Amino acid sequence: MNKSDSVSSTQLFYIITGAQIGIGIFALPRLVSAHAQQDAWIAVLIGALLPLLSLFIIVNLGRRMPGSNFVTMNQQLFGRWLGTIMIFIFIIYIIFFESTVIRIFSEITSIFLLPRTPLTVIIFTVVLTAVYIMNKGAQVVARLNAIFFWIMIPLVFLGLSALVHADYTNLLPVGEANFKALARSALSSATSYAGIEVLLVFYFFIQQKERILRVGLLSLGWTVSMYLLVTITCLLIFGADFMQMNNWPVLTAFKTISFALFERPEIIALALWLVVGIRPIMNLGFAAVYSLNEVLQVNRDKYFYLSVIAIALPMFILALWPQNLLIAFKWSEYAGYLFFLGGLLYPLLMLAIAVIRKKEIDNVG
Amino acid sequence: MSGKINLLITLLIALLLSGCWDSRGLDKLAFPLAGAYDVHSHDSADIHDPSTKPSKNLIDVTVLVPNLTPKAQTEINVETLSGTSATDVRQQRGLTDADAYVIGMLRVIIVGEKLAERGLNKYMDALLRSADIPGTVYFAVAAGRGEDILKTPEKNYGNMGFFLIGLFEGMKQRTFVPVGTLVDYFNQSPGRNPVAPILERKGDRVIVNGAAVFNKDKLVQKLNVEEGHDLVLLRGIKAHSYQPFEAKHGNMRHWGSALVTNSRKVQYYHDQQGHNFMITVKLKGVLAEHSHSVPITEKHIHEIENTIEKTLQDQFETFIAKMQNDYKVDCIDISKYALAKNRRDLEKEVDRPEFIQNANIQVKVNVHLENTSEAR
Repeated sequence: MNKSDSVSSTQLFYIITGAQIGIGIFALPRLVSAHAQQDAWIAVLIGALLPLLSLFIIVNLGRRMPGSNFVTMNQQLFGRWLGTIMIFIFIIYIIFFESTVIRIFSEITSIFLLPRTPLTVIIFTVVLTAVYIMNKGAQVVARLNAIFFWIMIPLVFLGLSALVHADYTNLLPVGEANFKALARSALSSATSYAGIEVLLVFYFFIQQKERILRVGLLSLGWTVSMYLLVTITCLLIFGADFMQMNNWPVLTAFKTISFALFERPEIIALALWLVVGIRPIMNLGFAAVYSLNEVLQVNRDKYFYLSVIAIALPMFILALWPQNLLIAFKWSEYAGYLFFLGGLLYPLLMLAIAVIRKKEIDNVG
Repeated sequence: MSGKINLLITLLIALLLSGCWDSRGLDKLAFPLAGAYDVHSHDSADIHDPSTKPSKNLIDVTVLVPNLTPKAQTEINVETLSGTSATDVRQQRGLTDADAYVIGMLRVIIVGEKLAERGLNKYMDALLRSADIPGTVYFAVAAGRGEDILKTPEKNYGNMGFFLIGLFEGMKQRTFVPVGTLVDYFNQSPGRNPVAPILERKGDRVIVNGAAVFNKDKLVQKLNVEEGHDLVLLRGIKAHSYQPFEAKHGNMRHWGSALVTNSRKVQYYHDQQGHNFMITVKLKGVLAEHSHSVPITEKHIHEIENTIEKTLQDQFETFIAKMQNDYKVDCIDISKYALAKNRRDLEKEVDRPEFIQNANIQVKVNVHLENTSEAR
């Protein structure tokens, strides 16, 4: 392991929350209330079961193969060639996922902050920033996550001030949504927790492996709290029906408040959130870069930047591909469904093979 | 990567994010403070403005823009243009105005009553879609044309825009008049109907002269100031103002007012007789004025409280009867309590006139005067 890749367990907390909480939080209340209506917050809680399961699987897997990094783990479990193919599939999944994140991030920037700047320029700037960060190694990525995390806190308080418009009747009656509606909303909510799979790669970088599960649970708890907070806040202010008319109800919530010194808090919130929103891109992007670098056995000191460019370039191209925002939303939905494969089924498959192979080894022994 | 390349990347990022495409000189910008939407009138648009194709569906959009250009002949520019939609007018403004409009500073939107009666959503969609426009823009209806409101000369506040902003900001603290914003207007979920203050030009002044009741996006009723007062209290819009009272004790007539804040509680239940609402309006405050300068006793305070309660009870019952029989729309925002009990079944029902017409609505008033202010 390269010296620049060592990550503490505290930093892991910031990395996991950073990989999960990005620009998607702005649209989350609309997506989860589309079917569950006022019970959307219940769907947010149910959706958290999926990343929780994923966390347990990944930690279990890491404990069974403590000395292996993500690449060697795949090659040991699937064999050299199939393992390499699996790694490449995982990398492609990350590239596609992050390209949708970059696109929506750029669209929001374009609509709210820089309407005349060509979308290509915004996307290029985002990718260039991510390239710069990823090239510096896991430690820098971790440290930046730690700094950016604390920028989120004042934004939370700023958003809570919109609760002056809260109407508790918007949350009632509780439990009216039927199973089908809750399931559909829970599905949307579950895809918002994508990012937990970053632990597959970062597990290897953590010094204190015995703390990983606890940190993972804490970070997931934080993510669930944030999602719950924004969903309930938006429900209280707008109600489920009105939210369906807004692409990003969280930003609309910021627009309902005004202070003497900050007449347009949504601009400040969005400007700060640009910093917070880049975290998933750099976290998962780094995971893909590191994996590619390891599987191709590229000299880390001299040619790491080539791996970075090899990941960033397709991300940039794919981010430009959707013709409009509606198609970008559709892609984002597909990327969310892919999370079930990349974030749950893939680690589960690896764990199943690890368990079977251990039994085989034990039987042979 | 070498240090030079790192520096190059940093500079490039900083350059791209410095808003090369979006930056505009401040002297080339105009910041409209207030806007008005009206039905088209042949007399309104300036004859020098680009001619509009005749159409049945024209609207007039008036904007009030402070003139920031140094040594400008006028401090304020109020211009009306006609078009088929708000964005059509914006496009035309590009042909007549040298400055680019920054609509993010917009603070007041007024709609003429005739346009409001047609239904506003199709005309105001651009306001909902625009990311620039804050949700805290005040929304009002004009008795007559909104254009007339904006074109009223204002002597004391610099321009009508600043006057209106100050007026709306102060209303909640000084009157029982509903103050609404664009977000309040656009939230037309089941059971919700917006209300707005009515502005009227009287000579050289603009005053608030009542409240407008909407059925979703259509103006259905204009209330006078007293009815607007009842609307605010029944709807539970938080406000702080004077509640007058008048009572007779034998030959003596007592009158005065209490300075109160209001709150509301609504209980709902459904039985075989239908939908039942019990509204409790609470007023809490101090005695602000009394016709007789005598020390007020506890008994007297209670009498004043009872007088206010009785007066308001009668007023509210009259208002509710009108609401059910004449307006036929829930303008006091009680349907949401029914939805809070059974949203799935009632969602499609609450917006029908029969729902509010047939509802059994009871009202109770509770007044508590904490003290008699400084004087006894």
